[in-house]
Amino acid sequence: MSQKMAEIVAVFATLIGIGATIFLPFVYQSRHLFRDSDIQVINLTGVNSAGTWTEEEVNGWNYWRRDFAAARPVLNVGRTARFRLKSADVIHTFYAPALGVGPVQVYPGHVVEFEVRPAQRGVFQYYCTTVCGMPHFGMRGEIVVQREGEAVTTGSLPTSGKYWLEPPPPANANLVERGQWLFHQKGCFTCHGPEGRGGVSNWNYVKGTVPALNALAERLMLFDREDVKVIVEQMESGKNLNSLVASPPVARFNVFLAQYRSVRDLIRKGSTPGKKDPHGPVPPLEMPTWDQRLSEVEIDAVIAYLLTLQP
Amino acid sequence: MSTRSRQASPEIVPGSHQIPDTLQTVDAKEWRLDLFRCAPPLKRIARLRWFQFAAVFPNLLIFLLFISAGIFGTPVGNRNIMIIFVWILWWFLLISAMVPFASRIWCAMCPFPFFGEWFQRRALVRVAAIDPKKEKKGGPGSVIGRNRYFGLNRRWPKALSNIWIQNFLFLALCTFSALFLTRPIVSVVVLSSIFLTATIFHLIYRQRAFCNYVCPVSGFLSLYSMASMLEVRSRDREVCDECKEKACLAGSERAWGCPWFMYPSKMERNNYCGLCMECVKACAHDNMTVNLRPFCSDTRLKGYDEAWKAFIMLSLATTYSIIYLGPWGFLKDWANIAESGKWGGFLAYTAVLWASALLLVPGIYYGAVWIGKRLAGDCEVSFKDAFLGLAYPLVPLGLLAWIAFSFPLMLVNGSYILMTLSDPFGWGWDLLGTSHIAWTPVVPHWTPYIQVLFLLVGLYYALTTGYAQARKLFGSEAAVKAFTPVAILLTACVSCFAWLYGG
Repeated sequence: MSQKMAEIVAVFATLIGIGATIFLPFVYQSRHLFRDSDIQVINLTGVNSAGTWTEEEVNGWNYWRRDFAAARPVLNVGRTARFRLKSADVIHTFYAPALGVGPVQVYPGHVVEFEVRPAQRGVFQYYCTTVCGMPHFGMRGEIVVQREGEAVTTGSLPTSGKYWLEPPPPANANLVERGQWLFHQKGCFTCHGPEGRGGVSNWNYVKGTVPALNALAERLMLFDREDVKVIVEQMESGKNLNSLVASPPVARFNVFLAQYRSVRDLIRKGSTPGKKDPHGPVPPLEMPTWDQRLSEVEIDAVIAYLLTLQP
Repeated sequence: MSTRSRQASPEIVPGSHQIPDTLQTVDAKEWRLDLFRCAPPLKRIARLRWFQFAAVFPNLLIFLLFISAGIFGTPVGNRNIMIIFVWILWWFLLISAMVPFASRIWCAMCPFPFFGEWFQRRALVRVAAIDPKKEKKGGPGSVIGRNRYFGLNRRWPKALSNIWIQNFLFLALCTFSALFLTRPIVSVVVLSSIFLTATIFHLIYRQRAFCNYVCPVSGFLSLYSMASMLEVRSRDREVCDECKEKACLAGSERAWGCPWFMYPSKMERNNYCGLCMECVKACAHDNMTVNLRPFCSDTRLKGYDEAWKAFIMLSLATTYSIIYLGPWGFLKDWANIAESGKWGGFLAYTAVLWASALLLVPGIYYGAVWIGKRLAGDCEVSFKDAFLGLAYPLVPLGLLAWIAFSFPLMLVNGSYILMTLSDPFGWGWDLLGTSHIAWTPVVPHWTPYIQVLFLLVGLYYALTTGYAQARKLFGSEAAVKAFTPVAILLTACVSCFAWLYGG
């Protein structure tokens, strides 16, 4: 082959090769994904850094520099939908018990597929049930099942699971203020509700919803606001409450102390929620263990904050 | 056309001179095997005009695929082909196979200068040859030798005609290694920047100035290619001396003049030969060939820039071994600033890395050479010659230390290669049915023994070549005394590595 001919071939090969290398993966991907057009495909990616399951495209370019909106897939009654779950970072678990889905473990870089054919309309919650990092507690969302052509129900959940992580710890805060910040920053409110008001649904949990915490003072036998103030002051001063048994600062102090210890233990060790239907699915929300993530003082701060709340 | 200032001292290695037969044995260390005579098809391939294009083009496409995967693929490093193929497979092949056995063969297939060289030559395969006597002034482009080039074609500044820029760039790049080893997008930024810089430099400076003086990868390839078992050399210097055409240097209608600014017929070290085979094509006397030779055949460092490259490489191998293979998790946290956010730790890590690579290790070595020179007694050897001569053992030692470091990375992470081959973007493909295989480290219990074996091989070559250098510099009698402090230092270094790997 003459040099001129070889040159022409090389230039054409270069141009075609570059074009093919750039575009072929996307062509293959589109065929690979949508091989069955009758099936609705829902792509969900678990993003720990954003604390969401998102329908947005997550890739090397955008992962590190932006948030992702929580997915709110809309399915149709009687129509099959294929979920394609990916993780963009760590191990997540996708769980939508009311819809009979999961729990499905999703490893980083792997794609897990399953199909759902919803039989009834409604709004069904989904969760991540592996504690995948601090934004984990916001990794929830809703799947809406509607009849074809029906208007989509408006959602109420936050669009990103990590927004509460942003505020810095308050400077020169007292114990209660620090506890309030921790309750927020550690994501406790995502299950127990803002200001511990509770009400978050926990599928197949014996009590139906995650317990409210704004009546903790009463549960600890502190019916008077003054008593709460005295106890919080004792905690703030750094005294060990056990040492106050000889000279109790409030009435029924022994009962309070026993309850206080059990609350501390519950926070430290966590608990598994009891099932309403013993044969039904595991309730998705459980109290995690905090003993590695909160110090003794921080646990006291959270309790002090909860004691100041009122129903 | 100017040649490198370091180039061409008159010393001739006997084995590379006048080889009447395919294999000539001068002594145990100096044999050469002429591969073009052994396997003539190799010569035919090397002389093909499209040889280098055929080598570079697939790598260019692969490179573009990696860039695409880094941008559009999963951000999970171990499931993205960009991370696995570049930093695990390519690095392993480069340091463990290409450099020791095939010198700078990577430079012959590297995609970074593809577009730059294309713009510069306005040719991918053909040669733009001219006859200087008939050429009129004011024609398009610039005429260098018997070839025409486009772009500005400026000469590279003489003050920068060394590898110091490469030294600092490589060290700077390696400081952030934890970042681009885990984040595909950071690798994209790093590699694209090198690609773009290479293209721009080709438009401004002559030929392969970027590869010779700027490319951070080229720096260590140049150093460790000295140890390689492959070389491009002239068969007979007399033929070259009598040659009037000097086509290997000036180019001809058959080939481009050496893009690496070398005078191939006088070449006696591998350092700045990119194995492009233009000199093989150019030589009208069939006098250029590719030889197989003993390990560690080029034994002269010619400047402090090269010596410091050896110190930097050894320091990096040590630092990486401590951080990535050692049991100290907090050090990995310090290096991985993006994940840990510990700026204090990162600054401490950076300061220690730079200080040890540029000052501490060279300082200790300086002390050992100084003591050795004092022990050797009165001699006329300058300290610079002694220092550079006795710094050479760091070439085989450093190379084998890097192989020892890279080997377990391959054994441990090799299964990711199969996974990403089936699913290069982490999009859920299964092209070859291997995307769901389990992560399986290969013979992890043997790894420390393999590493120590490599280190011992490195120590053997370091000691033998170092002693040979000492004999050449100080004579047979004083050589042992002169080399002893350096030998102790090298042995201590290997012992530290062995302790680190073996526990």
